[in-house]
Amino acid sequence: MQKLITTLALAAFLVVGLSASSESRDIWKGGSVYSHYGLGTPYDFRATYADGMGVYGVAMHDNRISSVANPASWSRAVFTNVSGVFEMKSHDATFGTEQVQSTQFQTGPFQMVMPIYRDRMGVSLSITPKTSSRYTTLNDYVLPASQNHSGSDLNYSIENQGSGGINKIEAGIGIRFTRHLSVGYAPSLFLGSINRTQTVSFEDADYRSSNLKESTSHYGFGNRFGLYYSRRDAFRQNDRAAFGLMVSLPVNFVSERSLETRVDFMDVDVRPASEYGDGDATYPLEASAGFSYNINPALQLSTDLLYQNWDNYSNFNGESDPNLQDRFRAGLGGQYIAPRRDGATMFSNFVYRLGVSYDTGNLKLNDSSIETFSIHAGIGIPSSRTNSSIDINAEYGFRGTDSDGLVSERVFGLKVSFNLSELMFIQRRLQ
Amino acid sequence: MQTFDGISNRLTLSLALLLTIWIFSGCDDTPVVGGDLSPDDASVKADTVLLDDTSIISTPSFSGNRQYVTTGSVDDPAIGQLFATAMLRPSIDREEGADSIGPGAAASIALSPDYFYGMEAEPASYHIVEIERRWRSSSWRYDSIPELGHSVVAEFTLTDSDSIVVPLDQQWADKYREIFMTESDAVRDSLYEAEMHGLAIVPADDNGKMFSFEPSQAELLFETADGEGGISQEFRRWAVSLEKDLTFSNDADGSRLVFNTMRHMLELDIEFTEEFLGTNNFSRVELVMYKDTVSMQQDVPSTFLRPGSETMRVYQLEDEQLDFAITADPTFQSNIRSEDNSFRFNLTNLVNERLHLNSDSRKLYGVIGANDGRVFPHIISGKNDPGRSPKLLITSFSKDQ
Repeated sequence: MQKLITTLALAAFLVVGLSASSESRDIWKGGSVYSHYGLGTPYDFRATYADGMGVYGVAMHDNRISSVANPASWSRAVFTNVSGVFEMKSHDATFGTEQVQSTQFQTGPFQMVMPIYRDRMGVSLSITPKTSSRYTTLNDYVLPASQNHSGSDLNYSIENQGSGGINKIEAGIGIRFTRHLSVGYAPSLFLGSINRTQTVSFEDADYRSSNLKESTSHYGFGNRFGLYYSRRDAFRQNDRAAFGLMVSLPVNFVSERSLETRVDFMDVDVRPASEYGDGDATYPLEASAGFSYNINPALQLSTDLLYQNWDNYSNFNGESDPNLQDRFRAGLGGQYIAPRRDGATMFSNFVYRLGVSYDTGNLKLNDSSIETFSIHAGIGIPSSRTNSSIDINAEYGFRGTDSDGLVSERVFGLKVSFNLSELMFIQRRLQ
Repeated sequence: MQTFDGISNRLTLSLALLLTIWIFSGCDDTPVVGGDLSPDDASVKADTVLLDDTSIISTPSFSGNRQYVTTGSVDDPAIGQLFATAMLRPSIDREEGADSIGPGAAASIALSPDYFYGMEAEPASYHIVEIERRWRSSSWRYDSIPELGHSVVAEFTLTDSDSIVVPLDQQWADKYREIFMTESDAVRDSLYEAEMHGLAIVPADDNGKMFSFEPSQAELLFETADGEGGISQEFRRWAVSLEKDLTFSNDADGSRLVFNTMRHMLELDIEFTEEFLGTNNFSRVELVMYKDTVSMQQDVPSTFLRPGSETMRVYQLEDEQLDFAITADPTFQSNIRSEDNSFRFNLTNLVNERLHLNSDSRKLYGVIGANDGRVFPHIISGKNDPGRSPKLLITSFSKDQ
């Protein structure tokens, strides 16, 4: 049975690993129109256990499951952890009287954490989506007869399709300096491209459909620092309190933009990158602070706050975006880790998670912040013979508003995480 | 303990099912909502590029064995004087032991005139004379001048398009019969090649009317008084010789005179560059040229007939291809739009390909009517008439500035 789990998990990791770096593939239609702005919609998943509780996870650590939330937490690594995530997200969008539903399937972070000195020093290697831009909109236009050559009104529509996103490849180290205090540092490479394809089609068959694909590629180097403080018996016996802090410095992107069109199944430059310009967008500073408290070994509560300085974001042209604002995201949740007992029922061995989150969003459109309120829930299904597990998390959120000419979205997300956790490089003496 | 292992079979199955549903549900959705929130920064624009730099080029054009031959002389008030000679060479072939021409047989040519050019009701006279020098239809150009005999083999007058039979001089008929009746094919062919070069139909002075006919439908007939020994021969070679004395001037800014014979073609100097075209992402590019009906009717009496074509052809030719333009197929064809007498060509694919995919340097040349041995002059409006000068109507999709 264990072989089956391992095979399944490895296959899953392979798929996740191969596809994580190709987040920007223009395969899936749909998504949120709000991902049109800036670098796309920020992507928040950092750890499967945190996701099920609605928190970022900066003040949490689990020996069996890896997390990219806080570099300092890697110092507590005991097992080698590898994890990957599949995600399905459904948007039920309302715009005036229009209502449409879309579903996306994508991959989340892929991460490996390995202890150098068990519970003292650990390293991490990960690929993490940072933003995602996926949307499709359609606008209809009329070019009056007096302004075109057809002799009558020329009806046409433009399909506006966004794809791509920013990914982060990060390697980092966490070191526990004292019994309670750990710090971490993770340099990273941000890279990705934001693509926007506008395709015009005409009612009049004499006119040829054509498109313009603007691709803006970015790369830049980031630096992230973490601090993690954990204390057992903090307030009473058998409890544990932890505090976490993470700061990711702004990243200056080297950006390049091209404009292409498609002629006879070939992409040709409308504006070559050399002419269309080099730019220098900035990915904003990000910080998170949180607190978690284990009332007992089975029950844990956590809360944290994420801040992203999108107000200081600068786009390709070095200009700020008036539609962006600083983003705050607060989460509160808990998890119940049932103690393993032989003879227990199937459900009594799961990990149960529940939480809520509130997100101001990084967008302010028509004087309205695009806020999101979500409830989160998840279960962890552990393996009986190893520390590996499969986690299934769900969230249901409300984003935006249908007033002020905006789109109200109901977002349903379902994530499946595969977590391999093994004592690697240690020969077992006892079978 | 019932944990992962205990439920793995059911879970694996469920997960596989779930993933399959996700994948397919993700592929199928094509939602479009909230377009106002992702405003387009590209739009459709319509522009016009006037083709000021047009000119008429002359090319060597061959007239041999086209569908028609044309003969006659016409003084077109709008264009000038045209003088056409139709050249015909009947076959000398003879089926062994079957065909024969009886002694004293009379010869005549039967033909069906069509496409009259000139004064409608005026009778026009034509002479048929012998061609004195060897010629080849395959290399005969419109501007080649045949060497003609002075003695008239036949003459006829034409008023309308009824079929006519023109009797030929008996001396010519006897000469033809003598060669025809030679038993040896080789001797017959060589005698015919050396001594008879065919017949030319020429206008008698300035006869004021041209007409065309199909040589493949015409016949050389031999008939005897007793009805024995008569035959009909087809024509194997034919060509047209066309002389012009034009009064129409292709001024720099004015209209352009083109002939379907391709001796005079309109050269369109279109630069397939973004600078010239103003953009580089095209939804439609239409080349428009107008027939200059005003110039074509100037000083032309109402009883004057001028044949014409409703079809314009545009060729893509290299400079060195101009000498062989006659063999090229047109790239575009357009029938006239009756509302405004315009010819319109969809160049969208051509422009996209030229601009983005290749470095084809061929120029575009336009003529009205097919090069089929008939003579159709047309005048195309020039840039002195801005509303009707040749132009490109461009509809593009481009980023807003």
